[in-house]
Amino acid sequence: MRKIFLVIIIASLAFACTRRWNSINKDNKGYGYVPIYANKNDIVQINFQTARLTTNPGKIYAYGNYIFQNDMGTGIHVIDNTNKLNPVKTGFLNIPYNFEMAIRDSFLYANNLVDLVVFDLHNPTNPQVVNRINGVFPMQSIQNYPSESDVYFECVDSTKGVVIGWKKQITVSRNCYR
Amino acid sequence: MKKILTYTLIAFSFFCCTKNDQGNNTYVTTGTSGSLARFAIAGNYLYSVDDTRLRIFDISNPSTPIYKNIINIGWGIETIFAFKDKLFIGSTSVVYIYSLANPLNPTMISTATSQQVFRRCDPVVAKDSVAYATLRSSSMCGGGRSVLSVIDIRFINNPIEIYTLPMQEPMGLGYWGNSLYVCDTAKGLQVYDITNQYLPTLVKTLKDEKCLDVIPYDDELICYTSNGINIYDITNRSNPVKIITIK
Repeated sequence: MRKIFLVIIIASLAFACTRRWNSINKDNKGYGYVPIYANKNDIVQINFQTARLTTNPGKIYAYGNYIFQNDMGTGIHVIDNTNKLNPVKTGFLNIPYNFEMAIRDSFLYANNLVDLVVFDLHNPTNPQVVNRINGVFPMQSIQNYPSESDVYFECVDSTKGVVIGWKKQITVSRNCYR
Repeated sequence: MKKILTYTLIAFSFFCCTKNDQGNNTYVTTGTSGSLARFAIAGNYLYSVDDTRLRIFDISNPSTPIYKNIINIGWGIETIFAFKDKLFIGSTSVVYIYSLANPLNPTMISTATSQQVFRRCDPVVAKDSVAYATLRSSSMCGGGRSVLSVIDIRFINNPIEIYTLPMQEPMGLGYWGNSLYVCDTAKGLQVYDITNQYLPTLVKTLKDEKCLDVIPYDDELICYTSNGINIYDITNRSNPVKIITIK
């Protein structure tokens, strides 16, 4: 009896898995989702650059005499508001795939794709990376398959890099299904 | 026919206006976020939400955060705001209110819902006994109409919506003193008098660049716009005067 129970559990687990996504042996051409890969080394390229125009304005944050604005997916604009009549952009903290930030005691916490990165902001014109927690914000929803269901897609090949998104296009290798 | 209209709340977070509201710690300084944030700091902890879960980091040593815990919250989580000893977590379907009595393991106290709007797409701000929420009904968010919702939170276990005002495309909001600033991408930046906190009255509308979120901060209103940032002087709370546009 116990064995049957176990078998049922394993079978249902297996079924649960196959419902997530299925790899198909033959390639099949047509519209499908293709993973967008990013090079892990490019993702972690963080640096402080000269002030520049805001491209895709994102969330805002205020700390001390400074105002920060995310540029969606690329980093954080630093604005010195000491002279309230003439606030000035002092630079751009380039952080690939950044959308979120918070500051406490002159330390800035920001996401760098799936990592949490800590910056020392004691000198706001020269922010320094002081810490990083790798992979703490896993993008589980897109890591292995697109968010859409009942679709064909190209199976993820982790040797190509980190999946940062999916695009729909005609492909010859719709070798996965979900 | 099934009544599928879910009266709930989407993307929401609480805006905290004065630094005193940020907790009991007087020796640490924490910044102020807009009302659309996914990161929130409360006490010695950094909280972050993804679409389903809440993560907790110990930042007692601010340069060295330690990842401590992860908690399942629900579906479609969009924003988080720490207000005193509570976390307000906004999702596409409901606003979860969590207690920080145990900061490493927050527990759910209640959920806030709206009778007026079926789905809600925007943030909320909280004062001690009242919360203001913008409820946006666009094609993306579903729902019937857009309103500014006034929620009585005197009894945190049972938040009650007690008043609504019609809006068009409301986004983020924040308050400073007795003024409430509400971004409405169609109507403009609206200023409400909240001397009677449960009965906001419109005193001014500014039609500048599309306003998406605000941070009232040190007698200034920092406004996240479609072009970047507008900063207004709000020394006179009810009459914001534009200082600069930063692109």
